[in-house]
Amino acid sequence: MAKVLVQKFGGTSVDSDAHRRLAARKVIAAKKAGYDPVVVVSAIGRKGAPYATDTLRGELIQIDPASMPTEREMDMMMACGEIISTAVMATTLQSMGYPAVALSGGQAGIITDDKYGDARILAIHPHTVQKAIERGQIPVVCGFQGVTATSPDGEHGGVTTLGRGGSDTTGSALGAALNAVGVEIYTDVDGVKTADPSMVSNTRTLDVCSYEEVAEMAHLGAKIVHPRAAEIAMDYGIPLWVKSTFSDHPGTRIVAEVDVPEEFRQRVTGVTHTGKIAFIRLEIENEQHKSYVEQEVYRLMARAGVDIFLVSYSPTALSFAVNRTDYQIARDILDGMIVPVITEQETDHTATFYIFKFSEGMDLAYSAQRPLLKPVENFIRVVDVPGTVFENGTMVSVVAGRHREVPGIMSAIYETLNGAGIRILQVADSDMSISLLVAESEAARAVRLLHDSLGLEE
Amino acid sequence: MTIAAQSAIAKHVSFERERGVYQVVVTPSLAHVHVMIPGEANRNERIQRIFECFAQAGLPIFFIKLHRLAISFALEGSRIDQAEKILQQLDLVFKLRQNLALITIRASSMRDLTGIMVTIADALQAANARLYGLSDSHTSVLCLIAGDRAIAALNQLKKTFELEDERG
Repeated sequence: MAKVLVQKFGGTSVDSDAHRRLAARKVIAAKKAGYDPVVVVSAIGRKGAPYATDTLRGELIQIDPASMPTEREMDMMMACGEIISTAVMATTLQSMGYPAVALSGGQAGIITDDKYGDARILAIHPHTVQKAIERGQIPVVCGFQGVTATSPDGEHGGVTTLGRGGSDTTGSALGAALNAVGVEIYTDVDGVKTADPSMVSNTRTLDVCSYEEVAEMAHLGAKIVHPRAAEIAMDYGIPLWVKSTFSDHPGTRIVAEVDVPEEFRQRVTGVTHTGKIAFIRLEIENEQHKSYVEQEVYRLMARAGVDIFLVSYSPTALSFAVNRTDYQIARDILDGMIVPVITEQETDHTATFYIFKFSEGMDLAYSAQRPLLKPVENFIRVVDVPGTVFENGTMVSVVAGRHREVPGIMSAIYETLNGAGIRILQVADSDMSISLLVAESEAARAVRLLHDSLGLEE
Repeated sequence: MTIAAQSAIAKHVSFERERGVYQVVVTPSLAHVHVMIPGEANRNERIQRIFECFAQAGLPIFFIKLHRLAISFALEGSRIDQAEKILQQLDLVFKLRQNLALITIRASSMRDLTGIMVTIADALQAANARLYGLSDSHTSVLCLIAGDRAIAALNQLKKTFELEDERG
């Protein structure tokens, strides 16, 4: 076999005959350059298009809106979008004089676990893909899908889908399994941008960035390569490219950090934003009891299925964010919640009861519960835990690998936003980024200001 | 006690990364600073001044948290004297904690793991490791604990998330 090059085309690259021909030309160019292209395609079009994944889901749901279809059947239905797209793309290539063969995920040997709707790839046995290449055909493989393994008693596996970012994941995984020289992710932008171009007019396309940078940007809201795809490429050392189907721009090369030129390693890569967030702050005055009360808060949130993040500690307060869709549940749990604490150090009282109280109008359960505790106050100390909420938050993030080694990044961020009157409500940093909780109404302005002040503009 | 950086990784790595926590890394020898910023007057300017002074001194700070009457951050333990000097020059009331370790718990999609915070908090409590700071992102939860509890915490987290020692 010559050098295998995996080329993955997203929904907008295959949503019309004209676009498919543009995509096919990229494949033919790779073939002419001496590569053995392996094509991966998403379903045709985005939400609303007749064969888009959401449309197919809707078809099944409408059969009986009162009960959700089983996940297995839902996966079978959703997988049809890519199967149609694959057949259409293979036929397009054939019509342009290039032999091509359409393969489902299962036919391409993609074996997954049995978590329907969000399956993980366990193994790839790409014999059929390799055979097609040997025959001089261009394999066109369905993204986003695989099959579960055949059972020991010979029962064939079920069709699974890979969940969010599934087609990118297929591209990367096939690249790893075929020991490809690279995986090209084709989309409708020229490459990885320094910010969302719909929000910032003077964004730059990055020439090169690391797997970690691109995964961080994707996690933090940039719609580029899915983090799962970046992780597989990183783990297997496969170079990724993000390119546009609609231009000849060279795109962005995504490689291991050691292969990123030294001058780019200590840099700010981009500014992103994501999420509709409610931020809750609870004042717990007793430092000794605080960790116990906090743990109970975590436990109850977990039990209710509420994810908490942007968690912040101070000696007398706990604050955290929840997705706005979960906010009502979180507040209902916390309002009037009582956490009893009994410690050996207690002297004058046998126990302390902490009761959570939000501001007036949001404290219905507290108002009902608090009077009931009056009779026990001679024996038990009752302490109010005042809670405040900021409902309309979002997260603006600055992606900067090695920011912990570079002084001044936070100073520059704070100066920019503070100078523009944008209040930072909280900060959270990871190895690769600094995220700021700001009012949602200020998100676009914050992204624009940070993009320019951190030297990212074109 | 000073410990070297240590880490643990998932036992059963498939073609893709594990769904849950796949790695725990310990970074030793850190310090944590809690600086009081009392009152609302010029609060932002005072915070800005702190950040500026640390930037001018070439001192990277991270793990930054904004509190109602304070800010807190972490830095390399070896640079604590420099930090102390800056804060004294700014005439600020502050509290320093030294010999801390940062435990970084990594997962492919941390925010899809409902209950991860309580699982981590329970593990740290079982290791008798008090939390001095906490931060989180889509791929990690970072816990600042006393350095002398770092090994116990790492072992407990390894047990909780079924990880094994990372080679190399």
